[in-house]
Amino acid sequence: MDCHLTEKISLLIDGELGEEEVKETTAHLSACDACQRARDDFLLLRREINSYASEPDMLAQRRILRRILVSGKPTLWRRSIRLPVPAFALLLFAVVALGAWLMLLRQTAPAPAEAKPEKVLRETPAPTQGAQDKLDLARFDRGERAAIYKVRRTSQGGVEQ
Amino acid sequence: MRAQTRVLIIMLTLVSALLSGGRFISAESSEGAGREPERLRFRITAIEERAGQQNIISDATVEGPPGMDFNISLQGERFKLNAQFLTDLMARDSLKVRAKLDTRRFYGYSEQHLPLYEEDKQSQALDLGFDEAVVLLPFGRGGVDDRLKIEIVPMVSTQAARLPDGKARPLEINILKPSPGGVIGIQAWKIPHRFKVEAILLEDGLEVARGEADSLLQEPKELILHPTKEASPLITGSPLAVNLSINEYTRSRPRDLATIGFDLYRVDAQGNHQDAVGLNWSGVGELGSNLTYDLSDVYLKGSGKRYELRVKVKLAEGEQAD
Repeated sequence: MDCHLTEKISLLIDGELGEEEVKETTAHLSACDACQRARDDFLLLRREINSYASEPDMLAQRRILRRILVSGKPTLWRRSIRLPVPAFALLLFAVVALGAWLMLLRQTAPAPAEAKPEKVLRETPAPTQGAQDKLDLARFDRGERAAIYKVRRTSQGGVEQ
Repeated sequence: MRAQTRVLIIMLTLVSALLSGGRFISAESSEGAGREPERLRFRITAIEERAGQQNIISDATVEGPPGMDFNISLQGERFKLNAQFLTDLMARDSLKVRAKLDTRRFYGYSEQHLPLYEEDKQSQALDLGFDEAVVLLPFGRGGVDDRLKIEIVPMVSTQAARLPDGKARPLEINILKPSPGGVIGIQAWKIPHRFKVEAILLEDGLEVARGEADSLLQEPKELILHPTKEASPLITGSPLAVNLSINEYTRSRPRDLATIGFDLYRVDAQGNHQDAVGLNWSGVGELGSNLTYDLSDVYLKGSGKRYELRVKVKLAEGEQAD
């Protein structure tokens, strides 16, 4: 392409030029051989594209898809990004500072668990029930010495008196 | 053999079987032929007897391997009882139960208004079959109209000694009915009861007499130190006897400890005590280690030789430290 307005020919064909530009380009086209050739080429290409009958071939689509998947494109994990050193240093500093701030916040905050046992203690009933039901041993006591002996068991599983 | 003789033998067999109460038949069938029970259970029931009526106050079982011990405590405001039971399986169907009862009763106040207590200690050893039971009366035999009685019934447990994963099944205390206010408490534990005790007399470091005996925990045992071939006529003429008791067994590391107490006597040829060489001696040592006592000042003092007594306590065969 020798003419600097050849690019506008493509836009003219696609109808993407303004009114004034259309007039200028059309006037130029009538006088410029290079642009006329370019216009002929663009129109031919368009015709060929339009005449191409696209038939969806499922097998071919699948084959191509598989080829894309196994094309050796690196996975997300293997991909790397370029980051300027100052930006990386700033990011690292920001992460460390955030961690330190969170730790400081945890240490200075009042422990809510410390207050809880007091509440639990208040909720615990006083152990008065056992004392009320306590067996009164004094009524058995006549000052005698303890005794121990063996007896034969009865056939019912009890012991002989 | 004549027919009358056969009939007579059969009848005699039947009569003897009836007289034995079928005991040997039931024992064989219920516990397996000749096998010692793997675990024992003691049912401890506290009963209040009032006007001919019985009311169960508390009920519990303790269960564990033979040789398990347990303690029953009774704690009132003015009275306290601590009953310790050491149990040993002596044969397939008989137990030895050694009971120690300690009571403490509030008596009153002194002139200085200090509390006075009446304390009592008693020990009893009972040979017990599985068709028998122990009755403990904390407040004595009187007071039939209102009496507290604690029955201790031994049983053979059906539980295996080992758990499915191979570990020893632990002791179990099951409270079936707790005592009101928790006045009755039960504890159980298992420590070795059977030991082998060895006592050696040394003369200037040379063994001149030795005695060995099997010993049960908390049961005095006499060992006569028999002179060896190296013994001089002095030793042969006045042999020694040790009356020893393993008073306590303490769990410890690296090895458990045994506390011993003993008296040392000179004996005659028949083994009769002649005179005491040492009374109320004691010591604590690791199992299998030597406890050494210098006898130079108390035994054959004029001989000019150094005499030592070495005592060693080991676990008896079949006993396990843990």
